[in-house]
Amino acid sequence: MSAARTLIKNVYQILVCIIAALFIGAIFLLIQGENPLEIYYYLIINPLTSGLGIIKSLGKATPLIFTGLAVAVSFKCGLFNIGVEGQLLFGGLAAALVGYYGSGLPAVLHVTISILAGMAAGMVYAFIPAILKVKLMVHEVITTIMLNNIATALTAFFIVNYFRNPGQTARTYNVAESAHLLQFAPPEHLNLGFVIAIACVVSLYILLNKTPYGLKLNAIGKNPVAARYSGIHSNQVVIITMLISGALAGLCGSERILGAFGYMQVNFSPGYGFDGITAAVIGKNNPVGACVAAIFIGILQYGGTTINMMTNVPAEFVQVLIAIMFVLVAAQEAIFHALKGLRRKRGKKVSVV
Amino acid sequence: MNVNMEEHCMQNGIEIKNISKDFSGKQALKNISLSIEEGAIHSIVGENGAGKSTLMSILGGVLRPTEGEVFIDGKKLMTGKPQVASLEGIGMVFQHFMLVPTLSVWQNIILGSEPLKKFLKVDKKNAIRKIEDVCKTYEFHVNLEQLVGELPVGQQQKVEILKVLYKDAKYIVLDEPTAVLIPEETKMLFASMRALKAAGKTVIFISHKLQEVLEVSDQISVLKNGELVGTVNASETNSNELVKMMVGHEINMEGMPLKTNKGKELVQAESVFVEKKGFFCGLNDISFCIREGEILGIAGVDGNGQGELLDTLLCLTRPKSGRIIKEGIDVTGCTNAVLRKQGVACIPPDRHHQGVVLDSGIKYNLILGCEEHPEISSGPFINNNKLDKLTEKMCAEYNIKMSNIEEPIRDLSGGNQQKVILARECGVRDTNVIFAVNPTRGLDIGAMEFVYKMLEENKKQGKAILLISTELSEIMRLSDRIAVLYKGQIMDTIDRDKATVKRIGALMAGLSEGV
Repeated sequence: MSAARTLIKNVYQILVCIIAALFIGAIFLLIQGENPLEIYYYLIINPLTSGLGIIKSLGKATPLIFTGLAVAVSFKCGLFNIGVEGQLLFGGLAAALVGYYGSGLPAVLHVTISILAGMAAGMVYAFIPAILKVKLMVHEVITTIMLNNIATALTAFFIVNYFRNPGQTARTYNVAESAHLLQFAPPEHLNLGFVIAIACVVSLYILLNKTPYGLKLNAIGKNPVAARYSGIHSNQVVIITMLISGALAGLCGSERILGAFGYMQVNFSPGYGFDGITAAVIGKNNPVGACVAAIFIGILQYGGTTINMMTNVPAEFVQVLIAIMFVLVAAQEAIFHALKGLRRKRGKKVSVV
Repeated sequence: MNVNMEEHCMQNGIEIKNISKDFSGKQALKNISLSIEEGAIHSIVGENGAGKSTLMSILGGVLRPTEGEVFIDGKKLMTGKPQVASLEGIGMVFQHFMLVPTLSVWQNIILGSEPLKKFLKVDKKNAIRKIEDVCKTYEFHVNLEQLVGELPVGQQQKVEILKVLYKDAKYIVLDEPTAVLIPEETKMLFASMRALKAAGKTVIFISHKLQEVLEVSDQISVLKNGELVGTVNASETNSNELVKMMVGHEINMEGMPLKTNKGKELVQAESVFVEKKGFFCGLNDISFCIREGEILGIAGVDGNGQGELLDTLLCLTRPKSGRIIKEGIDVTGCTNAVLRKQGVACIPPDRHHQGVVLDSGIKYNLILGCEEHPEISSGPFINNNKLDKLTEKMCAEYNIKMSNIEEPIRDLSGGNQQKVILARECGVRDTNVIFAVNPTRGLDIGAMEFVYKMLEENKKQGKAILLISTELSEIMRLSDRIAVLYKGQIMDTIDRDKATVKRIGALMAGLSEGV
């Protein structure tokens, strides 16, 4: 199947899952005695019908696009990089430091090196599980989960001990003005990072579908043994993939620090890396799919704050909805298979009659 | 074979009647009727792919036959249900053990049929007493408290046998049990088998090692290409006769290897040594050379080092000692990727697992491992038009039948899948050395002939070809020289002119003296 047709089929399947998830969510709401239509209005329609809603949703989606891509590219290669969270923490720290210590540089240059520093830090941190996998065959799930904890502790250690801005919360000094990302709309909602994210989606799509590297990565993800026997340098591809994944995670950290916060606070991430896994799975590891899923989660997250204010349903309902979607997509093959089986059975019965 | 089948049905024992099995078009078993007497050791022998394992899977309830019935003690067996077969007294011991290494011996034995006390607690005392009874009856000596993972392979096998005995199996099927054992362990296994027989159990012994079969069995049934060649009494036959039954009279002797001019030596292996590991027998002092325009055949029963040899030649595993030399350059330490770029092609033995990416389209499988091929790229990108053109060209050249080039290769027949691999390795790649392992496994006659033709064509072009195959007929048909691999060692290398099926067959069975 060509890349475009796969994409269309994926999008169709994802839409089916989203709608099914909304139906199941509605059952929960009905049990609670709420009107699902009202909730869904605030959750989905409201954010999409106001300019501010759209901007805020996209702003919330931006970090998830980065992490979604980071996870998607590694999953596609059969690598379960759960460590995006840790990689983005280091990316954020590097961006914050370069953003602070590089003050005096011309703005364009300063922003660029700050972002690059974040990417590099993410890559370095992703290189650890990659090299452990290739050289010592340690499974990346274990190393990346462990490295997440190490990253949380280490970044906190650095900030508290060396780069702390004296004050109440443990955070770094403010990033210089020249390193701030261009803001598009009312402060701190949407910044240049979103454009960079979309650019990443496009380049990753091209990389995966139109280059030799992408084909190799795909082959390794689908059948690593055949890839090895056919002469693909698997180890090399695995390392490059982990580096790309780490760079995207680092970008997420940089975008948050340079675009949204302006400094790095200890544990600033509410779990962007893990939401990225959700986005990648719902998006079926396709860059475009992951981006769409990330934006959808962004809408829900913004909508969640609204239902919290306007109705009796807590914002956590959004998490429930996303979880249902995740399960549906993960079990999708089985579900569609069962549906096909049902249809076939019915068809057979008809033909017998 | 069994003229009075109706009478047999009423007796004790296993009666297999007119069993056929189709695997999506390929007949694995053709109308097999066989009776197995109670209280005997009955061997089933045959080459790889002869249908031994399929037949036993049907008996064990893992597979359902397309046609035919199985009777146990005169009672019809509901096929396709492993639990039913187990209840009827059939116990299967597979070649690859189904044991949990982190549990102790007694825990493994009772797994799945645990005796329980109150509150669902395992009744350990009772279980151990019962296992000890079984051990005493059949003279098995195993430390029940030891972890299975710590046991040597021979002991693990005993645990497997104990497992089926614990479930009161009457008919014990041993699938290639000696494949993983060293000679002493084999002797002990045979002693156990005789003890089982003495206690009235029936043992069904599946093997391709003729000496062992002759040593231990009462009756021997020979399968070939899914058909039963015959059943003989072990006391009335010899290995000569069995070799003849297994491979002898129907060997495709039409055509001899193509005569070509042999050039310089392209590939040399110099006393390659690979260590034994797990189920793999390793390699012991392997040396050979392949010249331009020559096919060197490596005959041997599966599992005698073929996999290790291929992995070593492809630089996927590094040998413990020895060298692989290609065109005068030592390539032993290379990576596979580097080696393949120097013109090495490979047709791997396991098509689905090692050969193709089943879920990818034909065109992506055609360029698997050669994604950087200049013919399909423009700049750093893959040019889809060029790729489609290349695919169409190859499909025409290699006569690959498909509905469209986007089609996942999973949907193609085995023969067409193999043609895609051939097209990739011999057409798309620029190669001068080909390693082909079982290139016609599972193919029909037409596809087989195509593969032969392609290999000979490449040979004519002056490529050096290594043909590792478990099909003796294939080796005889194509090779200029034949080396026989047995337990990781080359028993002998014979020129095709001097080779006879008997001699090779004997070497394959590990008999170094002529038969």
